[in-house]
This record gives sequence, C-alpha cells and structure tokens, in this order.
Amino acid sequence: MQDPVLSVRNLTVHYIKDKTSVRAVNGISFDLADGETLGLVGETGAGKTTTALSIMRLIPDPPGRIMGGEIYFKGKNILGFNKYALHRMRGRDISMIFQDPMTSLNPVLKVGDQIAEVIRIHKKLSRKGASLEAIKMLEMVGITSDRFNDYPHQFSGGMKQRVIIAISLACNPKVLIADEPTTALDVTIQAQVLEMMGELKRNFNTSMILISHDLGVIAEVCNRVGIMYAGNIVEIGTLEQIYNNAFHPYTKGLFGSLPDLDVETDRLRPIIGLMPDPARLPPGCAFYPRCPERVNACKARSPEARELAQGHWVRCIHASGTGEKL
Amino acid sequence: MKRNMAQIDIAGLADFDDGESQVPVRKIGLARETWKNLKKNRLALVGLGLIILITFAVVFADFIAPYGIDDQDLLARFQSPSKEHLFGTDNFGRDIFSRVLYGGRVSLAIGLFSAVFSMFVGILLGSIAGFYAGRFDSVIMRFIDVMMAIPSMLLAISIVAALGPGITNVVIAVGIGMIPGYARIVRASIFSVKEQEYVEAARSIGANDLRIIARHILPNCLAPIIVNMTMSVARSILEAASLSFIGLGVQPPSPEWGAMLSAARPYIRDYWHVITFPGLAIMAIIFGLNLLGDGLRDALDPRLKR
Amino acid sequence: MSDVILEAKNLKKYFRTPSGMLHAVDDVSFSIVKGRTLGVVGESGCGKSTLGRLVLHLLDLSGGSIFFEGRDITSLSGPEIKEIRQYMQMIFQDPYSSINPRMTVGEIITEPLVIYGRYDSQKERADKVNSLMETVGISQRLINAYPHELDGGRRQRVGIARALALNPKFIVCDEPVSALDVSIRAQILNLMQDLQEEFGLTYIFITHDLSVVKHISDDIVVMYLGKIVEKSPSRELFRSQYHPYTKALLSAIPRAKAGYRKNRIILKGEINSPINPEEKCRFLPRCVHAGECCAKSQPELREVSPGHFVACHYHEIINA
Repeated sequence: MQDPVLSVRNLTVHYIKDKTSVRAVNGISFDLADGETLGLVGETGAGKTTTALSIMRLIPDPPGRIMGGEIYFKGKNILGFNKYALHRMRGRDISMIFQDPMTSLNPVLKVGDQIAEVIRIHKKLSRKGASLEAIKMLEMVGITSDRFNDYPHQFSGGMKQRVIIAISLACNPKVLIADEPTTALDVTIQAQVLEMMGELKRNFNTSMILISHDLGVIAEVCNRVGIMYAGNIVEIGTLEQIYNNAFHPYTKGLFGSLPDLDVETDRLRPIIGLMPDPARLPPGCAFYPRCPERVNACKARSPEARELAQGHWVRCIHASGTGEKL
Repeated sequence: MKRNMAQIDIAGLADFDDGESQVPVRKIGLARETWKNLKKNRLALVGLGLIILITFAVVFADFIAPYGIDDQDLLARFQSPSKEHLFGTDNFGRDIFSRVLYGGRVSLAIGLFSAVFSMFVGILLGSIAGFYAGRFDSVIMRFIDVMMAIPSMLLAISIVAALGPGITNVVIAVGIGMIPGYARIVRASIFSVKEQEYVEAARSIGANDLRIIARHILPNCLAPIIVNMTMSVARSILEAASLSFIGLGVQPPSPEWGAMLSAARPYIRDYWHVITFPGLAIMAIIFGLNLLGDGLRDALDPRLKR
Repeated sequence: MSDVILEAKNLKKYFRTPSGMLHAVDDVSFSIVKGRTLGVVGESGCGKSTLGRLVLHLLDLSGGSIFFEGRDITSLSGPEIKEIRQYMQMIFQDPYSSINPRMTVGEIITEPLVIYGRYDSQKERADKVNSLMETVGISQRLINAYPHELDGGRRQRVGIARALALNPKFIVCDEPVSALDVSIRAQILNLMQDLQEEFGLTYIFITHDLSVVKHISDDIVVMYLGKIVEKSPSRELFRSQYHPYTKALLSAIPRAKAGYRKNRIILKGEINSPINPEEKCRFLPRCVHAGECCAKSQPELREVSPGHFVACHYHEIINA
C-alpha cells in the first residue's frame, strides 16, 4: 500500500462565538491515496466544508480555530506551515473548487486572465506564456479559445464551472478538493461537467476529494466514500462497500430515504428528526436520538472506529466483534 | 393507515429529544435582539449615555437650572465659570448653564421634529417610488434628484427666507432638506426586499398592497431607516444651529444653541466661555448621536458576525 | 370530465427585455383531475416556475385561458382574484426567503386567516393555527419563534402550514424540497402525500428532479424552453420516454448505485436562450436526431399511446 498523498489525523475544528463553541469537526481522520477520488457525503452541518477549508487553511480565525490534529501532505504537517508555505501550496499543490460557481469568479476580470493569474503566481512564466497556458486549459475544459477575453457574466452556469475547474487544475495540483461542484447546475449540464471532470482527472492523475450530499454524484465519480455526521466520519470504505454493504444506521437511513428511479415505491422512508446542533452535541454517539438501532450504551461514549472488512471502517457500537482487526 | 405513518414522522419530530429545552420559545422582537447586540458595543453605549444624560438634563431643566433664561444681572456680566454660575454669564449677566439647558429643549425639539417630519415624507415618497416603480419612480426620483442637487444649507436658507424665521419654519426648512436621504434609502431597500419570495407569498395569501408594504416590506427595511434617523437628528440640530447662527433661525431671546453661538461671536477673544459652552453642548449631542448611529448600524446588520 | 379541477389552454407568457421578447411559457395546455398531482419537470429557463405563477394569477397571462372548476378565471378583477386565492395556494421553493424574517411562526400562519376574516374570535384563530402546526409537524413550543431560529425543514413546514390555512383545494408546489437536505426531503414529501390524501388536495408539483416527482405525481409534463415536449402518466414515463430531451434528462440523473453502467446520453451544448425563438423545434441545437423538418416548424404534441403525448417530428423513427 502506497503512502497516502494526503492524510488527516484527528482533526478538530471549533468556531468560538461569544462563549459557545460550535463543534464543527470532531477528530476526523482519513487518508487520500494517489490518484484516488474520495467522496465525503453529509448533510448540512455535518462539517464537510469546514474539513475542506481546514485542509486549505482557509478557516477564518477568529472565530474558527483548529483545536487539534494533523494534516500531512507529502509527509509534512500542513497545520505547521507558515504564510509563505501556504501561499505556495494553495493552487499549486492543493486546489479547491468552492460551492457556488456563480460567485467564485471575479466579475470584473476577463476569464482568461483569471486562469492566467494562478499560473503566473506559481510558475515563472511571462504574461504571454501564462496566457498561452491558460488557453490550453480553456480548451481542455471544452471552451473555445476565442472566449479568453470574455467576462464571467457572458457565460452560463455550467461554463462558469468549467472555467473554475480550469483555474483549479491549471498548475496540475496533486490534490483537488471539490465542494459540491455541480449542485447549482442543471442536471443535464451536471452530467456534462462530471464527465469532463472524470476525464481530466484521469489525464492529470489528480487525487480528488469530492464533497456532496448527492449520493448519485458520488457514485459516478468516487472510488472511496466517507459518510459524515456531526463533524466526524461515521463510516468509510470503497464505493462498493458503502453502497452495497452499508453498516452504520445513518448510512442505511440515507440510502433508505432516497427515491429510487428504478423501483416502484409508494412512500419514502425518512430518518426521523434532525442533525444535532453542533453547538450542543450530546455526549456519546451523536446519532443516538435518531437511530433505529440504538441501545442505552450508545449514550455513554462516542463509539470508536472499527474495521469491518479491509478498508471498511465504522463508528458504531454494533460494529464490535465483527470483521477482522488489523 | 397512511395517516398513522405521518403521525410517526410528526411524533418523531415533536417528541424528538434533540437536546433543546421543551420551554416555549420566547418572542424576541427586533428591539430586544438589537439591544442585545448593541450592549456589546462600548462606544455605542457611551453615545447612548451621552444622549440620555443631555436629554434628561434638558427635559428637567425646570428642576436643574438654577436661574431662568432671562434672569439678567447686569452687575454680573461676563463672569467666568464659578460655583454660582457653572458656565459663567453672558453679556447680559444671564446664567449660561441655565440657558444651555433650556436652549437644549429648543435644539433637541427641532432636531427631533425635523427628523420625524422628513422621515414620514421620505418613507412615503420612497415607498411609492420603490413599490410601484415605473412612472411613479421616475417622477419622484427626478424631483428628489433636484432637491439633492441644491446644497441643503442653501435650501434651508431659502425656505426660511421665504417663510420667515421661527421654530416651526426652521423645522420645515431643515426637514425638507433631509427628505431625499430617507426617500432614497427606503426606495433602495424596497427594491431589494420586493423581490423576496415572502412578498410574493403574501400576495398569494390575498394581501393587498397596503398590507404588503406595511407588514412585509417596510419592517424589513427598518435597519437603514433607524440608522438614518439618528444621523438625521444630529444633522438637523446642526443645521438649525447654523441657521440661527446666521440669524435666520430661532430668534433671540430664545436660547437655542446656535443663536447663543451667534450672539457670543463679538466676545470670542475676551470671554471664551460665552461661546464655548453652547458649542460644547452641540458637539456633545452630535457626538453621542453619531456614536449611537454607528453602533445601531452594526447592531442591526444581521450579517455581522459578533 | 366533470372532475377536472383545473384546465389550462394555450397559456402564453412573454416578457419584454432589452434584447427582445422572452418566451417564458409558449402555448402550454394541460388539465388536472381533482385529487391528483401533475408533475412539471424541466431545467432552468423551461418556464415551469412561471407556469405555476400564471395559474395562480401571480403573473398576468400574455395569452391563453385558465378554467378552475369549470369557471373561467383568465381575466379577473382584483376582488375576484382575492376571492379565488382562497382555493388556490402556493408552496414556495426557498424556505429561507419565502417566510417573512420579521414575523413569528404563529403570525405567519395566522395572517391568511386575518386577511380573509375567517373565524370571529382570536381564540378560534389560535386554535386553527395550533391544529395546522400539529398537522404539519411543528412543535407547539415554536409558535413564537422567528424563522432564523429554525432549520430549513421546519421553515418549509411553516410555509406548508400557511398554504393550508385557508383550506384550499389546489396547491402549486414550486420545488418545495430542492433546498432541503436529503433526509428531510423524504419527511416533507411524505407529509405532502399524507396531506393530499387527508384533505383531497390537488397539486401541481414543479421540480427539476425527476426522481422526486416520480412517486408523488400521477401525470408528468416535461418542459423545455417554454414548451411541453412530452406529457405522460407518471409510471409510464419512467418505463418509456419518446422525446430525446426526456431520455437525456432521465439518463443524466446520477444513480445512487455502485457500478451503475448505463449508456449515458450527454447532451451537447447549453440550454438556449428563450428570447426571440425562431419557428423551429426548440430542442434542435442539442438534438442528435435532428432532421429536415426540425428546422422548419415547431412540432405539435401527438398522442403516441393512451394519455402519452410527445412533441417531436421524428419520434416514430427515434423510438423504432
């Protein structure tokens, strides 16, 4: 097993407001292997975006604070990087695509210039050289070079997202974090963009973390999947393991609440209740109030991660005693 | 049978122990929420304190002022501040402290009334322009543009010159100059709030235009109006004082602060106290209002992370 | 046909823009039987949201006519519109902007009752509000809460309670679950189905998500750039689609299944502008099956099987 290209260990991030701590991320750990696409699935408040922003060290401090943990990239702990190291890292080694493509582009700069900008920051190229590279990137994302001098408002949503993808891949980063990259797009456009992202990923051999609440999108693109709830990963494994052998009651509940296009259903099966307020997390397992399989012992302690099968880990009290332990 | 399943959903939610208390949520209006935020801003509290102090002193001038506004004591002219005369005496031997207190009534009243007057007219014009847009908007806003093109002091002077001096006319003159400010703020607010879905929702439940403006749109435009209110009170006090200073506002012997400044002009070089204390009074109330206004702007802004 | 509650004929809505005439809704016709749900599906610019608002008189028609319970409601005066609004309500898309942030939950739900003068005493109104809150599943303790204190799911329930307050017969639901989390979506969809059964409601369910509309709709209408391209009973549409756009739409939806291999139809190009459309098939620029007729005239809706209509010049050839 190769060394992972990115390794997050026990990351804990809180937002401190007045005197309350919003516990957005609580001791999350996962690895990203070379060339792999890891999906992080979760609903609003699960902590996915906070995790992504932490890797990019973009959490505003105050009120956010990384309380503990390490993030290893190519063997070094990012959390120890100074300002200059971070500037070198962002865009060149690790890139991020943010949630809303409509607001991620600068409306007063030409689109080609915005791609060229990231190139000029990280590579020693002249203006002209950078522009040429930028044109190549535009064509790679399916936009003709004659649109280099157009402004963002002249593009549709799908095309704006392609430009953003071009910017993020311009310097061929090792890791790309994509936070709900297609959520704001129409479904036929989403299909186009996902197809294109898959191709680019293969060509560049980029490792990707794809954040989404859409289990369908995740299934299209990811090799491994982590299910997040209340600031931690409750289940992680390969795509097949999660989709065919889900163990955690939340994971099962998520799949169960989806309407299925291929099956006739009369009524959906939702998970009752709501995700807990991250400012007031209950002690013990965060899923307890909503869990159909809960027992009293769940209230006492947050369950630790156990390995059910090779690479398939779960945080659930019922996971003890099953599967192999490494 | 199906109904029972929904009840499971509902029961799941209603009995759902999500750690929140079962105590009913208290109704926290805009006022309480704003106060909560304002309390954390020390400067704003200083401003508020100043305003309260001055207003209090001015309202209860009858009890606090040791002398009347016109108690002349020609033997005690131009006395420096002392125990008997906190702010000293003026050219007629009148106690400046008492005159400042009583004068405050005039100044603050003018400030308040002109602000309220311009607020009502401004909100009315801005609402019509913003809500009905189209031709109404064009006509009203061109009119507002013309008003804004004229320097407000000049406008005030011309109005007072036309109507004659006196408190009411000063209120009108100063108030008119501030109408454009309110109108534009309200119009801009309405344009953005108008597009919100809850306004459309109000229409879909049968609300008429008046209800939509009064209940749905204006309450959501309150923040900039409130902030502008404090600023316009400050501005009108200053403008009224300026008018009186050039002799066009409140006439002597009324102890309006601006008039007191004007009357003290010949004596600046020899008797500093005659002009200084009314000036300080003006400065204090303006300062307090500005601090409060700034604080309110921050306190009312929902996006500001506190 | 006497139990048809809503009939729309040749609805048109055009907007004048600086670049030309925007055909938001262009000659749309449909009818809905009482107690059933019509799903209206399409992507941005197809006109589905506009259509919903036309039916409720939140926008004025540029052409066409609407009949509600047999009565012509195409052009109504102000008081007549207010009268009809009691029977036709709307549930809005964005729970974060469809309820007034300065009103409490109780005030929001009470307002329609106040406007229409239902109930004579405040107590009776309060009782009705409490019963509505219970029906939609909002805890009583939240009656004085403000919207910003609630999450998206609860806010949407407030919107639903508001829509039910006047005991309407007909509700237009404009993407009611799109802004909600997946697990909450299922709660709200179930709730809406229950309400339909309990109160005999008729729905128009507008969405871009075919999977959401599948089990809640009886019939589905697929729209593209202001026109209906396919109309069919719900179950049948998922078994067989005739229009190339419908096929692409269905195929584009990512399935939550591992290793789902399918022949993905990826449409080329972008969704065109609905401004100044020419006299040809609107789907032409993106259609791989395009033929001669497509550039010459707009296809009409033709019945291909009972209740199933499609607007495509070459539908027989494509589906042979």
